[in-house]
Amino acid sequence: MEQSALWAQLERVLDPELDESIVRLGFVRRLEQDGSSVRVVLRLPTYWCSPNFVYLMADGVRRVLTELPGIESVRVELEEHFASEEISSGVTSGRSFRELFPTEAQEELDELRYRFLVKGYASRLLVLVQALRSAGASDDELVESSLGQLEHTGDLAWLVLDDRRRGPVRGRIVERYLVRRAELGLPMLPESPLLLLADGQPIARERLTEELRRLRATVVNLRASTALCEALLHSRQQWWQSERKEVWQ
Amino acid sequence: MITIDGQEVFVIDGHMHFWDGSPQNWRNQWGEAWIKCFYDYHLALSPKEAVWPFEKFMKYSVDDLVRDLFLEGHVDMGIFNSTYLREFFTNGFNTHEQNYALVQQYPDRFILCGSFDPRWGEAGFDTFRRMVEQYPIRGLKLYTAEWYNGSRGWKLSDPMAYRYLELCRELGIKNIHVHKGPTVYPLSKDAFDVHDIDYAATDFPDLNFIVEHVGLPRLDDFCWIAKQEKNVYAGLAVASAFIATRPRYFAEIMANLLYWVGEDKILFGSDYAIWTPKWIVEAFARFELPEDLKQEYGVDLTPQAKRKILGENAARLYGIDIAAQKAKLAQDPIGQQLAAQAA
Repeated sequence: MEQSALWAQLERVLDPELDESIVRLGFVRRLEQDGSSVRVVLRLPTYWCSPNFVYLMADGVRRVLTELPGIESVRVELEEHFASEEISSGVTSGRSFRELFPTEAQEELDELRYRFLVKGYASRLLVLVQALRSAGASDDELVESSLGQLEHTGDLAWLVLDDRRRGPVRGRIVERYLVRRAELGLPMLPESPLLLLADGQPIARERLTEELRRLRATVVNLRASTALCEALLHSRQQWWQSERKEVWQ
Repeated sequence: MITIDGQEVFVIDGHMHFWDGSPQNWRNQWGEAWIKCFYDYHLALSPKEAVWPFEKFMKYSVDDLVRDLFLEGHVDMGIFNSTYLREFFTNGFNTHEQNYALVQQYPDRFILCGSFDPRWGEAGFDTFRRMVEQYPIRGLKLYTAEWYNGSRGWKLSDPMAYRYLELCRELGIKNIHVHKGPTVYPLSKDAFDVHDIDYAATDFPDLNFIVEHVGLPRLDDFCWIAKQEKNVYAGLAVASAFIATRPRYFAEIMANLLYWVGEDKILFGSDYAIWTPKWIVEAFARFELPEDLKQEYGVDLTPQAKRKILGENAARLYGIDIAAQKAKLAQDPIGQQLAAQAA
């Protein structure tokens, strides 16, 4: 198996809270393959990163890699995390979060995962609206359009109106929106409204500004948190660097 | 004190510590990991010239604190957090007993916070009562994510937490600062949530709840709650430190807070010694919201808003008459030293 195929799979694993790939965030420290076994080492921004999120990422790594033909076992290790042992051994053996922390975790993680899928959706929806607006779409056009009016060609996408089209916007913006919309189980028919809130409600024209403002608060939070996590991960490197120096001396 | 628009502004640092994170105080590996994580925060957002060596960061002196806050940091008064973390640190990280030593030295400079933990149960009522009676406790700092006897967190809406809030009423404690910020070991979805604030704020309308770190990374959830509850306030610590190296994010956070929460309900905080207040206060005094955000949100960070956020809001919550307090502070040893410096 090519290393690049493994990395491409890992790209799909997101930090559930930041809605960003763990590869892009720099959390994957090592990836080693030995025949049908893979070992992945994750390094997170802090020693205290929430175990529930950590579990979701580690378990995601196991799941996407075992989807590949020829990969039979995946060992996920956490570097310098207070629950490294429990999470590493638990995920490697495929145990659930509640099995790992029986006295402390009151529920499985589906609800948590869902909550952050919704936040990520908010962000993707807002990005789509902003992109289409700056490509010339009016608010009326946005609330009146349906999914079937999105046209996708290669890396670019357009919103097609009766006599003209608005765009282009980056295709990735549209893809990210559609993928998450489908994950949430929202209508995906060509005649479904282009803009839907996470609960499946269309956005009325007079509510648009207010709804966008709410989405915007979620996005500000997401981006500020991402910036903080990236900065913390960067700061964290110092401890490993200084340990390396000590070994040399 | 800092000058904004030609006017002297009274500064209350709503969130400060005096900790002992030195190896002698580490109870186990958690103590070491804790202070290292704090130091990562320090490095992540401090401008270069404000970075301390790790040695100093683990344990700094009274002189450091007095200089960093009052002599150089423009701070007039500090809301003194007590953080126990006895499971990580042998003598606690910064307990109210330790903080009290400093309060005695400079009684007009600090608002001392105590704490309770509902997991103490009824047996803890007396301990809490004694804390409030024996020390000049004026507010509380609560950590819902703190470890205790095998439990890794609690909620403000727990029935036993309500019993303690009732006790606060009886003892005349009105201001409850709650750490709702970067998460430490929240295992269940509720432990890192901000929604428990909503219940408590509704059921205790006569108490004020200051949500420290504006709930980051749950800023949006916090905003919805603070908009609805008159007695929920935003504590800026951590968010304020974005101002130097991530000014755009700081601006976006401020625009949201001004829109959803309003300038009367935001309290400045540096989180000293994670960050020193000097550079934050100076940058805040100069800070202008970018034009696009002003337009989009219809809000502005005016000199008046800055005055409220830096000191007036906290003064109101704690019943401090700023003019009278200024006169008092001018006479204390720090005030005299400041006057001598200015001369």
